[in-house]
Amino acid sequence: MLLYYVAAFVNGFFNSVNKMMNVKAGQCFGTAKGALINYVEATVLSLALVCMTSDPSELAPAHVFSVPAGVYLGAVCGLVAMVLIIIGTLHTHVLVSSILALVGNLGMALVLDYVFYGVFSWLRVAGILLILLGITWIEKSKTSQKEVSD
Amino acid sequence: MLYYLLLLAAGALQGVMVSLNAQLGNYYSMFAICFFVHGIALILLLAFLLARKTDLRFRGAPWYVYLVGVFGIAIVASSSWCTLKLSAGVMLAISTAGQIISSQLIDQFGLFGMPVQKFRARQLPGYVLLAAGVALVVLGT
Repeated sequence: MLLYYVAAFVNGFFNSVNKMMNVKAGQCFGTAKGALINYVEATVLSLALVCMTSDPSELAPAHVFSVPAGVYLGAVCGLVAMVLIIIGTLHTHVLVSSILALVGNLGMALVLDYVFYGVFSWLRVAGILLILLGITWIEKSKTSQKEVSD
Repeated sequence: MLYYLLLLAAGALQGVMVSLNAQLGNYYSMFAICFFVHGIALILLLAFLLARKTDLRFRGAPWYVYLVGVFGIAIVASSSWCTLKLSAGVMLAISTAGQIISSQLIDQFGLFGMPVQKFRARQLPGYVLLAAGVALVVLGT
């Protein structure tokens, strides 16, 4: 189980590095074209990895169409979320936008865990509130530090 | 107020995305999940850019920008793998802690051309709250 906790933590590191790369790509090419590089590379690389590491027949049309269509919609959700975050961040403060997106993210995770796994606990709700409080504290300290150095 | 709601919706959609991608794991191997997640987004984004007649030539970015797809795969693969085992809530809570700590490291050393912002003791209570929150989410499983 420890391996999964470590992998989830490392996932956060990947997210931060990926965010920085996307910001740089966005500065060089614009947001949409920057995201396009990510999707082109990841699609080609993952196809190559499927061919090398698993049975490519899992990509056969018969199997692909036998899977419920709804589970393919994750990519659409991700794209719409990206657009909404760009619009929202342009019209609010970065701190507010980060915290609000996290509230939605962790709140929805609570709902989905209940729907898919039947798991709900007030301990989790309290934990999520503490996480949000901690992040707000850290970001506020960073902002005030930046204002002082400016 | 509208923009606050848009940001809340964006976060909620990201939660749905992680959960749906993990559900794909019931039907596909880890890298096949990555293929579908990125391939579908690629088709939609490409259609959007072509409809706007966007110039699709790429040049002039630092070399590491072209590694972005590798991290895209790593993120989708690891989140789908962990979510099926840990649940979306635990996975996102731990991943959020990882993001905050790695952001601090990026600021600390000024990586990716970001301005250097050293760690200060007054940030410590925030990290304690974050760690306590993650512990409660894990214990609440």
